[in-house]
Amino acid sequence: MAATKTTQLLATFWVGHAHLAIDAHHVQEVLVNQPMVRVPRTEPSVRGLINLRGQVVTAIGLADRLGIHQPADHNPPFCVVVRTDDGPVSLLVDSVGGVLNTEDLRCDPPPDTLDEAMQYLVTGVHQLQGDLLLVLDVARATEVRAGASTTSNDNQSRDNREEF
Amino acid sequence: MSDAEDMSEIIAEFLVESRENLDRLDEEFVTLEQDPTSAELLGSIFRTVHTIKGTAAFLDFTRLEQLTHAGENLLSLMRDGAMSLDSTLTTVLLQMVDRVRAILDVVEAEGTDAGMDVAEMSARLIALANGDTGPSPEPTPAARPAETAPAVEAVEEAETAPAVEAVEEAETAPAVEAVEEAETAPAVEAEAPETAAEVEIAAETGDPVDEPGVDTAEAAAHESPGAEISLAELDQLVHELEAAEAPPVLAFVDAPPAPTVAPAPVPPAPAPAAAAGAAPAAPTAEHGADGDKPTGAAGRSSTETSIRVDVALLDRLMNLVSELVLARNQINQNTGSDASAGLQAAAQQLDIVTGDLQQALMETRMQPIGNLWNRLPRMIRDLATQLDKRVSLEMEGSETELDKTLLEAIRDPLTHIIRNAVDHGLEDAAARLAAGKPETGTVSLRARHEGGQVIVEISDDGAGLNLEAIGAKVVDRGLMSAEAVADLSERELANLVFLPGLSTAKAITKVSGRGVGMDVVKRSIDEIGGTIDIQTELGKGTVFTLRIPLTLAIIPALRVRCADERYLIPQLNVLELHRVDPTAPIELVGDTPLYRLRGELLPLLHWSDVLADGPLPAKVWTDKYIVVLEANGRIFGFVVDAVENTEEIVVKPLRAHLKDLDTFAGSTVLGDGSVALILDPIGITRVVDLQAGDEPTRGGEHDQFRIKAGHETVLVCTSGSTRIGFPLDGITRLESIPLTSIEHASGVEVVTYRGRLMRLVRLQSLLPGGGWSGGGGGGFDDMVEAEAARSLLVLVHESDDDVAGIVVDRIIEVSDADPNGSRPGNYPVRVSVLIDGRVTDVIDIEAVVAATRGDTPAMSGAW
Repeated sequence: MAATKTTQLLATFWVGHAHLAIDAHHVQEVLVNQPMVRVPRTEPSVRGLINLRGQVVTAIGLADRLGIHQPADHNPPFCVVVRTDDGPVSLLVDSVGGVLNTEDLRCDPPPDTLDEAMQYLVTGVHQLQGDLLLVLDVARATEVRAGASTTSNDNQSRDNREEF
Repeated sequence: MSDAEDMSEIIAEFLVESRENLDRLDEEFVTLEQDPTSAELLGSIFRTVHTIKGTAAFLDFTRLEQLTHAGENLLSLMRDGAMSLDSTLTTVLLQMVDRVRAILDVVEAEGTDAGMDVAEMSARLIALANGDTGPSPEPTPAARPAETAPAVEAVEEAETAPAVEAVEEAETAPAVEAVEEAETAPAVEAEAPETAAEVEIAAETGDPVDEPGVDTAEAAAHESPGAEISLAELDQLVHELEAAEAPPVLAFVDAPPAPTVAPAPVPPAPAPAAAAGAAPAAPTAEHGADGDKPTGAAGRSSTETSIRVDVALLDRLMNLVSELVLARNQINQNTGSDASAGLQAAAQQLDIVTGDLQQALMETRMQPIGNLWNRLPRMIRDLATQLDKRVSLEMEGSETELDKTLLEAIRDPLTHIIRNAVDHGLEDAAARLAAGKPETGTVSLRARHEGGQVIVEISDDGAGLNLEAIGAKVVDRGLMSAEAVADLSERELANLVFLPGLSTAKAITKVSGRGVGMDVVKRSIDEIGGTIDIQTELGKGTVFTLRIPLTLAIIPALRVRCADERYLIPQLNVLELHRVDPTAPIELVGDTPLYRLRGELLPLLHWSDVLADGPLPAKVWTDKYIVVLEANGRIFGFVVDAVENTEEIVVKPLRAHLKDLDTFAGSTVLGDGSVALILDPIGITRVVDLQAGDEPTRGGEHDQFRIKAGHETVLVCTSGSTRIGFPLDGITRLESIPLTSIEHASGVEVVTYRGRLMRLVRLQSLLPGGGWSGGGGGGFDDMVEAEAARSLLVLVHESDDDVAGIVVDRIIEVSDADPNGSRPGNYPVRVSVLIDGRVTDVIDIEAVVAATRGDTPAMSGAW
């Protein structure tokens, strides 16, 4: 389903061994090694708050969102700042790749074998040489996950809006 | 394109302005009802309705025009003295105002009023107008000179001034006003003629005017020097006017920059009014000459000195200034003494200018609370009518200003409280008379600034809250146990109305009483960092006190350090700061840490309770600072590692999905560019409450912070070998008394304590099987222990005329007694309960104190 709508330009990055991508148009900027302030008593995926030129931006650990296990003291150095309806949000990733034009690439729906957390975030898969590129839904990747049922509805409507 | 844009802009402005005017109408109608003869008020009301009508006609909102036209006719009859406002008329006219509001809403949504049905409402207005004026709807003579006199002025102006001015004046002058009269005179027409047609009619109807109104017109003519000018000349003027300007432009002539105030003919209304009231000619003439000045002040408020600004723009400005404040903070921090003199001076200048800018911008956002109160007279009137009560509203301090956002935030809570006051608070007339009160109930609003806050008091002189009923209800609903309720003070009882799901209204009325509301009120006030409190006296009335911060955007805060993290605490909640005194360490009573602050027991909360994730690290209590906080009416000490500084911070709201975090009120960027979280003292107490609820096995942990639900809280101690408990309520303080300070007075051990003589009560002698007579090792050992410590641990029980200290050996914990496992005991034991699975005798403190009061020598022998 999601594969029918392909994005032409993808910003790619790695979290652990996972090669991931989001629509490059959503990416505002990429920052390295931002000092971060912990937010107590919140979802584990909220890794902290960063100061983006006076704006306080939530940094979300993409590994936590995707269910990729990483050591507790592992701090991904890169912040991919993406624009959302609710202001900028920073996604924490281990390293960044380039911008990929997917015009001529085939996009498959996410395989059923992906675990639940991945299924929720991944909209499609591109086959690269010896590598799978997982394309993420920006809105879902940047949310702080609480109840999946309500948030997925939210996103449904948001997705629809994008189509119009 | 741009024309269409212009139009939509004009419409938008029309909507804003009309709504403001309608709000004022509400108020004026209510005032007028009390003083129906006020020509000034009537004039103002008439002008407002007329303005709306005129603009509606100009913008081609025919339904709106039809409705307001009917209303205007009715009003003009009143203004002319043919009718006077009574309560029926007021009600209908207020309904018209509501209808106009509804139409405006539709216009805003759909851009047209075509879908609105105004026939019925208009018909009612027309019927009222006809019904009272009878078969001869001719204008009363009194109105005539009013028309004539100012017209004369206009003509004068026309002669001496350039053409355009003449047009302006003619317009503002009653040329058109005459139209209004003319219209009213023959019959009530449903549709107003086009503007051009109006002018013509004015010219035509101008002639017959001098027939019936000759006397008064002449009278006016004598007083006003220009009055000889005949109506024929007026006629001529009107023709000139027609020739000079195309009719639609007419609307623009008077106020080119603000076309929505188009129906400029409105302004001269006070002149006729004044003349009708047989005012001296001079002021009348002045009115005529200055035409739009007096009304300019009343109608559109000081157009020259103020502009309308979108709040969103102000918000944006505020954000920018916030950024500037942060940049300023950073520059200040990085401009050390090693910086060049030039840089230092510049930094200082930046500091001052930024501060001033911030202040000035805050002021632009400030609005008088009166803006909120304007609607209340109308609301109260409607409520009073609906409930058949007599209510008068008093308002004081309506000029008190607070931030626009906050003003909006308190709108609903305030309305709710006032509705409640009228509905539940005030009794009906019969009950009031029976209670010896004046028949008319009073609701008073008072606002004032106090210490960086706005205090709003809403009081009524009604029946007051029935605290017993509230208590019973709380028990009935299972929100608290009867025992817990019995322990509450009156004030605490009154504040129970803020619990969710509580309404004590006997019957659910249309107005209120569904049991939703007061908790929402409280939550809304909490959300903006305010507090609400109730004081009530049965039969006398109730006072709600709201404390609201002036602004939310930039607040003074205390910067503290917890481990290696920095947090900010709003100064508003900080009562005082203490460094933990090494000689008076924090006492851990069971799990509950308490600190003795000037003899009072202050419950403590360690930062790790609130801010630590994962397993709690071992709490360290030494070498700490206690920030004494007040939140939600509770006072507690928040223990932090260090207190760094106070500073003005810019509150940045947390992203929507982090808003659920009760603990934090927002975030900010500190001077060094790092982000820090702002603690929400109210949220902190909530987090702690939640924890205690989640862990029933450790229920005793946070009793200081919550309403005790059904359990008596007991301080568990040992005395000798016996495990005893004391109801926490009965104990004022814990003290450690050096043995050397103990003296004997007539055989009783006493110590001087805070300037009073405190008796020491030894329980061992009173307890069966324990203590002295039992002689068991425990008593002796403990005695030795106490001796070794060279001090006695004493629970102080204080009453007005007595102070007694109960000696115990050791304090074990503070815990909840489970009433289910209790068994009544014999003196001095009031009840035996199970605490943590162990039998604990709860001492009847009052009985013990009373029994040892007239002390027997036997007591001293206890030692």
